[in-house]
Amino acid sequence: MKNWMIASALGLALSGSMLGGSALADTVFGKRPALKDVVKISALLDQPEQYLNKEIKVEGIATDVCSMRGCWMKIQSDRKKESLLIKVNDGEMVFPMSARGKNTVIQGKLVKRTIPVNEVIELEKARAEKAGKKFDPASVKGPRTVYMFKPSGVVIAD
Amino acid sequence: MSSSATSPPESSESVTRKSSKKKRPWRYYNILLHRYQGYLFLGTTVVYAISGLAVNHMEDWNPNYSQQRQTQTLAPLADPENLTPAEGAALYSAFGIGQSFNPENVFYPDEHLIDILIASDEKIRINTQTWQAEHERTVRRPVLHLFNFLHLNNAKKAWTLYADIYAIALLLMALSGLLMKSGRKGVWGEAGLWTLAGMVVPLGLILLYYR
Repeated sequence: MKNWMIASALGLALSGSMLGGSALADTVFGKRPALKDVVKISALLDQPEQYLNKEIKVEGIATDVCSMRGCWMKIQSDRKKESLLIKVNDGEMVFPMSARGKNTVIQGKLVKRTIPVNEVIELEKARAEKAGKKFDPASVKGPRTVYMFKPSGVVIAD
Repeated sequence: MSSSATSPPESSESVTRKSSKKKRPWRYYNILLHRYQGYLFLGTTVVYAISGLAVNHMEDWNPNYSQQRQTQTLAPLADPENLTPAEGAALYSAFGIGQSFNPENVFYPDEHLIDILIASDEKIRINTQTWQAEHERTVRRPVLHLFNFLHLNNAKKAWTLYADIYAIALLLMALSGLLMKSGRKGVWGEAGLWTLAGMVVPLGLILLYYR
């Protein structure tokens, strides 16, 4: 009986310390964005080089989230048919699927990545297959430059 | 009165018990440490082991969510950027969605795609070139999602501390297991051979893959 009580007390103490955090309305990953000014995603994507590696804040609705590792989110631009990819290294932040459709505020840096030709071919091939179209590798003219946002802090509004 | 006159003389049996208690070898405590850590962290070990298996094969499956998809071919929409309630209702009906057309949001990811977000876990994607529509429902895997959440330390905060304690406990369990072997040779005999044997495969794989 005494042993059971000790074991239960230990278990309760451990679980109590783990569940100590209170539920907040917003979900925060990393540092809560502190910058005042918000850069429009359309402005960012119009002149990406101007914003490269500068700490800025953007805002938008999450349109999609990586369901495998929660390692990326797509944020709707203020302009139609445009979105910004928010990408973290695996495990740095894990975006929940429940973020889809919610407003997000993100602080971080825009980074440039050049996708090598062979990877572009793979991407386009997969895209064509999904759309049921034929794909000609010769249509890929060279490496592709993409811009993505590497966040230091994200707030997902509830 | 002297104390020897009031207290009963100790029997030879209790003296033996007392002295044997004092003389317990370190191996006794080693076994206790191994045993009780095993009990205490059994649940956590199950969580980490099952999640480890699940996330090891992430390339082949989604260990956190199951995604149910169904596809339909639609009649072209009059104005894809302005879905009418009737078109929306027909779309929902095509996929057997038993609710009125009131999506959380509608996105246009690129020139030829429309994403209708019904809820955070449910959407319809329409390709306006092929007029193929895909309904996707994302369902959280009940136990695995939680296990992966803990194993991958998505919780961070106090779970990091708990995971650190667990890591130290694992180390102590391994070491106390190694030191458990009694006998003349102890760790330098059979136990050591098994330990070395256990290192062969990982070392081979390191040589093969580590660059």
